[in-house]
Amino acid sequence: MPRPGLRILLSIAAVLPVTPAVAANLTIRVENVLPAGGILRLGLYDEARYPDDNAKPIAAADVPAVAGETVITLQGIAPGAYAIQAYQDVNSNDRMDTSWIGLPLEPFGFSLDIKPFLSKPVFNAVKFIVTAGENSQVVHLQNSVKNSPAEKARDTIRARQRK
Amino acid sequence: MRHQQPRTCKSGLLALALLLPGGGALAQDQDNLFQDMQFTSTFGLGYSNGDYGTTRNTNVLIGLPILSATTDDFKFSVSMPYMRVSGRGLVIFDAAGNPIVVNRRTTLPPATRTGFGDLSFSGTYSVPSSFMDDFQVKVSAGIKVPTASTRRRLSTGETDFTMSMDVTRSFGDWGPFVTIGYLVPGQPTTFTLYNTVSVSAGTSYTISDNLVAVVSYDYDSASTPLVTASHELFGSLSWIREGGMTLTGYGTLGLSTGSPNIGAGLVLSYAFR
Repeated sequence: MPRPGLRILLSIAAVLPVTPAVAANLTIRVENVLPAGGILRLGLYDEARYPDDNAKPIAAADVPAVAGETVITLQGIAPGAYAIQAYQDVNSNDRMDTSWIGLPLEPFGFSLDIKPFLSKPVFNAVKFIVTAGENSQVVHLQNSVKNSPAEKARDTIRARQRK
Repeated sequence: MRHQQPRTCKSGLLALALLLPGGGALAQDQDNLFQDMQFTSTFGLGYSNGDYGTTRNTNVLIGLPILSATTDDFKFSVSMPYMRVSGRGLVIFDAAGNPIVVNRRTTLPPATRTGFGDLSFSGTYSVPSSFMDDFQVKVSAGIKVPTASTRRRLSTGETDFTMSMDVTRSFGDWGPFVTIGYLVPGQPTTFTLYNTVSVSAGTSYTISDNLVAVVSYDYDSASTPLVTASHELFGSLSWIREGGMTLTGYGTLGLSTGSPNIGAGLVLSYAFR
């Protein structure tokens, strides 16, 4: 649900121990951000770190979720192949809430807007190339319908219908 | 804004990786089942007027309190309406709120019937969107227990069962939907009731972050041999406030003799833990 809104431009320093000689900046536009608020949590991974859920991301940002679109800029990244994983921590409880069978309850997204099925997609499906200089990516959050204003409105109407 | 916190991202990724978790994760989530439960109280006030194919109008005023509990993808609700029905006693209502014309005699004296309606329970399961791509699918089942007075014609005196499926897809600010329902009424001894099919097709439109409009065409097949199918146009405007409150105003316009001529109402909903 792309919606014009305030854009937050954030500069997050990469966490590489040594800043690469030829650095890149990556601007990520995260779309479909719910007006429910919370924190938008985003991580950038290389191929080695991506499969390991306990690995530290190459760079990451936790920023206030801005309804519609939130823009994040990661700076000082070494050129290479990366993957993005992001989710909107609507209730700011520092974790992505899941259902009793482990399915995500909060909006999430991957680079290239790949949709997972039963497990997160493999690195090759979500990877993109970062080159020296300025780069940009767009990530549309998935799983947003459930908590959307439209869904809340329809829930109220369903109550009227007593069905 | 917080700077990089790899731990927070890790927890999210872990969740994505565990779309089909092992027993340990399952047990942990079950421990959180009630902790994560959200409760919603809703109160609706609705008015409708129609002749339903008879020669006299029936006016209906319904106050409908609903309590709901939501956990993960499940929602359970219980409701009991308070009704004020004025007319000649020709019309009662089934579990889906559809009019049931039980007698076409117009010699009955006009009367106003008031009291609590039947107690209804329903459960809804939202199929996770991980399985449904960009679609959202909800399946519901409900039961109406005949707690209301049959003498005052506030109930059929029978137990009804309902089931429905709702499919929605978001296209930007538009959210077209189709809802299909099926009602199996209990069979009273004094009149005949049909199983009914209902279809609602429409769309929501998100005007702003806290304002949503919905329009739909609603169809219900005839519930008795004495009334025709119901065709209605429905429109609503919802104001969604931060903190869990939603206020909805709605109106209906009947397109057939089996539906109310007009209807209007307000629904106030508040979500809390």
